[in-house]
Amino acid sequence: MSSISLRLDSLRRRLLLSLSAAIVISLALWLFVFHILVRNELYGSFDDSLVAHMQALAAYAVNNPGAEGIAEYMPEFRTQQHQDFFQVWDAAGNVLARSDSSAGRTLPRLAAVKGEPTFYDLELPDGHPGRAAAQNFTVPPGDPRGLIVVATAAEIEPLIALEQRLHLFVLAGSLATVLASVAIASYSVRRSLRPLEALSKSVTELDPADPEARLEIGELPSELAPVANKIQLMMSRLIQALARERRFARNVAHELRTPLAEARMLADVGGLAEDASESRRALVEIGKATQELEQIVDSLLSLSRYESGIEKPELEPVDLRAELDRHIALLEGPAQARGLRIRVDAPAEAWIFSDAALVRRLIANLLGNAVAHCPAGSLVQARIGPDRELVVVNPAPNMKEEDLPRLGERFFRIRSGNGGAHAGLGLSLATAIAGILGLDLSLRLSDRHEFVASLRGLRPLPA
Amino acid sequence: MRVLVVDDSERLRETLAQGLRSEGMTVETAADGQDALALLHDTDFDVIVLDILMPRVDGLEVLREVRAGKQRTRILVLSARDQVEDRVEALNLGADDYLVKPFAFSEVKARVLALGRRLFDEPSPVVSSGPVEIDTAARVARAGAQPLNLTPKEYALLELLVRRNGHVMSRGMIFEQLYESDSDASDTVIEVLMSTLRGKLAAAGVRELIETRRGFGYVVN
Repeated sequence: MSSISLRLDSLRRRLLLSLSAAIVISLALWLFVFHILVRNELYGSFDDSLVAHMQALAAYAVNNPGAEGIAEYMPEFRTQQHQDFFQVWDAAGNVLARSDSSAGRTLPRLAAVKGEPTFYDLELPDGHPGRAAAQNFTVPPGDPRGLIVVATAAEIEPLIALEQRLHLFVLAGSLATVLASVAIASYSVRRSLRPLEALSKSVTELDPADPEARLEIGELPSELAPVANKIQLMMSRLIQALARERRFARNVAHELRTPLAEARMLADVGGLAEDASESRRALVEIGKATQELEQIVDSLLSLSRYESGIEKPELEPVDLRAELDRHIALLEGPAQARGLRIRVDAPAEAWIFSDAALVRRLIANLLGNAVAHCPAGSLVQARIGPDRELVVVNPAPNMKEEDLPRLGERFFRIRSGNGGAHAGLGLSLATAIAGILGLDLSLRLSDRHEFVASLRGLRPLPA
Repeated sequence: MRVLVVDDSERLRETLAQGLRSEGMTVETAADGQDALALLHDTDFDVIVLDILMPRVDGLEVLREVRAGKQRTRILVLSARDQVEDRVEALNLGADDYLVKPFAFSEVKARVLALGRRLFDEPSPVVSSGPVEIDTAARVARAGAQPLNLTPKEYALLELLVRRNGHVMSRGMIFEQLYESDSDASDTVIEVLMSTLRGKLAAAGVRELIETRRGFGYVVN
């Protein structure tokens, strides 16, 4: 059972088996029908001939009670022929006449003969198998015979031989047809499935770890081309995702190891310092390095929560303008230290219906990113448009157009205007939060080489 | 020994430079590969301590450029990348050593010193000339059995001349090796340094170690 199941695991074998079974069943049905048709045709002609003879005999016998001299008119019933026979009975069952070919022997008579031809198989007087037709015929009124029963019979051995020969030819032809059909079906199935096998082989041989891995699909039939294209697309997405994950793993290592290395180095070198103030400075710097490490870990945990869907938004009325002002006030210190100006262009109130905590974090990341990365002494602009669109703009002289697609990627960094340390997680967080809130965060570079972050889709308060 | 520290983390770069300076090395710093290549264009370094992941020009590109220029400078890569292929890539590009962050300062120092020795084909950390013996790992110089009480600059000067035994070094060459490029001092400080070093050597009974070649410079034979 298991070996059959194993064999049927192959699509090619299944198809071949199904096609072969269909061919054999179709031919068997055709043979059966052919047998019936041939039999009907052969026996129909034979019976017609019997009936014709019987009616001729009846016409003669009705008017000639002795039926003498019939052999003159129907020589096939003479003795030497031995293939055709007849017999005539009266109503009482007395034999009135029989063919010379019967040599005095009686033809078997059916018990129930009607006024129409009845056919039956019998053994002929010469011992050969035969077939007979019998019918009752009326005689003129006053005729003492009452009625006559006429039966004609003939040998069917030649008919049986012909039927057997026909069956043999057809069987041989059918067998050859089955073999040829199975061979053609096998070839066709193999040929038709070759692209599928090639596709399967190509997919099997793909190395997911190879960033250059591509499907070798060549020319594919129209049914398979969409599947192959889809696999190709999914493969390239998978490879991209793997490359991104690999980059992420490396970047995580880099971002976590660097502050650790800083802290270790500060501890080692600070410990060697003879001057107490140097040791104190080292301790302060270790504190800063640890704080940066903490921020990275915190951001990574938040990102993980957002991306895994653990964080669910709780909608409530939020004044976007008030949140903007609050964050600008928080950034006042760092902005002043770098001589930055922050300009706000927004209505006095801008109420939206959203998750307050997530919106705060989103604003903090967008504004924090702008303040951290624009050149010293430059201008950061924050606007709230009429459709509650939040736009944050900052000069970005080092940014290139090709950097834009990677800006939401974790740990992706461009050399910023201030050269300060940052982990490159701010925009990743902003992108993830926008996704949770169902907002559209677009990042672009303006003609004046300004980085523009636009947040669209913030919902108004419910009516 | 003249060392270039290249790392985009200012805190790490400056702390490491400070530690190496305290060991008597002359240390310059660069915040990324581009700044490092600019410095390397003008100055020779014995050892470069190089980070890999940096903005603008990364450490691997610096490695390629330095090796394409056939410089003998020894390069120690300090990187947060800890995969075997990362190390192999850096070493194949010409790095002499590879250390994964975080690391102990003592290990970086030991590796920098080892690379410095390899630069002069010295299998042992102890170099000597006449009665003077210098343990470059322990940063200690002796005249016979007597330790010499030298300042870091005096020690660096003595080590430089003993390592280049038989090669005359001009005042400018010595200054370049002992002082950073942004130093406010002039090369006349070398004469002062030479004088105090000779005084300490003489006090230990070593009078003829450093010879002055007028118009050329100084040499230890």
